[in-house]
Amino acid sequence: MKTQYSRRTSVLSAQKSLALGVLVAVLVLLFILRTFFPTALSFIVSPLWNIGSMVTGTVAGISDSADVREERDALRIERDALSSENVTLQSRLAEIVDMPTGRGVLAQVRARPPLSPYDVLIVDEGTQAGVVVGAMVYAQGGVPIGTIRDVGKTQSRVMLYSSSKTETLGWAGEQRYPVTFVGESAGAFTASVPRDAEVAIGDIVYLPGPGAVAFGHIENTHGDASSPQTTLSIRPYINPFSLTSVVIETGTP
Amino acid sequence: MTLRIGIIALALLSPFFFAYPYTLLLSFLASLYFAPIALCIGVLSDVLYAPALFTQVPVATLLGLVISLLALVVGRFVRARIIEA
Repeated sequence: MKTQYSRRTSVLSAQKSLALGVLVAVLVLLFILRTFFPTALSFIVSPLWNIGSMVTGTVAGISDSADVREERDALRIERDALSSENVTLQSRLAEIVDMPTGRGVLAQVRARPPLSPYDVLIVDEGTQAGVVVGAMVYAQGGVPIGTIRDVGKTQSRVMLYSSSKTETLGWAGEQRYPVTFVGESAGAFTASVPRDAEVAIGDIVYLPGPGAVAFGHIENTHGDASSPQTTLSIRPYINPFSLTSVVIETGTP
Repeated sequence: MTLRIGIIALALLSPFFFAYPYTLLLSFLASLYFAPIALCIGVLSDVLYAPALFTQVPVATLLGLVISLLALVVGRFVRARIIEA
C-alpha cells in the first residue's frame, strides 16, 4: 500500500503575510483617521461613497421602473387633491410664519442602508455647520428619523430610530395611545400594546417632534390569542433606503 | 490568480459600493482564497459605518471574524478531500 505524504505548510505564505501586513497597516491608518482626523477620512473615502451611491441608485432605478410607472399614475391623482389642500394650508401658514421656530441645516446623504450594515446615515454636514451630538434629524415633511450619534468637522453619522432594538416613545391612533416603538432595522418598527388598546390596522403613528409628527401607519397586528399583548407592525412613510437629504436641528436661534 | 485578486479587490471595495449582504457573500468568497480578508473587511466596515467605535459591539468585525474562521475550516476540509482523492 502506498502511503501519501503532504508537506505541512504554514498558515500564510510570505507573500500573503506581506499582503496582510499592508492591509492591517491601512486599516490601522483608517482607524486613526476616523478617531483623530475624521475630516481627512471623509476626504479620502468620499469619492468611493459617491461612486457607490451612483451605482446603487442606477441599479435601483432599473429594477423599480415598472413600480415607478404605477406609482406615478397614483401620485398624479394624489397631487391634484394635495394642491387644493395646499391652498388652504398656505392661508393658515401665513398666520404663523413669523413665529419663532427651530432652525435646521440641510445635509446631503452620502451613505445609507443597505450600504451601511447598521441603520446609519452618513451626511455631509458637521460641527462646521453647527451640528452637535444628539441633534434630531428630520426627513421630508419634518418627519423625525433619528439623532446625530457621531459628528466630525464636515460629516456626521445619524443613528436612525429604526436601528435594531432602538426604543423610541411615541403615540398610536387617533386617541394618541402611548407606545414604545422598537427598531427592527431597514426602516421597520414594531410596538406592543395591550389587547384592549384602541388601535387598529391603518391607524397613524406619531413621534414627538414639534408636537406629534405622523411618521407611518399600522400595517399589521398579530399576537397569540392567549397573550394579553398585541404586536403592531409599523410601516413608516420615510424609506431610509431612498433618503437623499435630511434636515439636522442645529438649535441656533 | 487574476480571479483571486479580482474577488479579493471587489470584496475590499464592496463596503463602499454594495449592500452589506453582498459584502458578506464577497467576503466569504474572498476568504476561501485568503482567510483573514473577511476580518479586514469587517474592521473596515466598522471604521466607516459604526456609529461609535469604542462604546458599542463591533458587529461587522465579529461577523468578519466568523466568516474568516468558517472559510479557514471549509478550505482545510476541501484540501483534505483533494489529498484523500
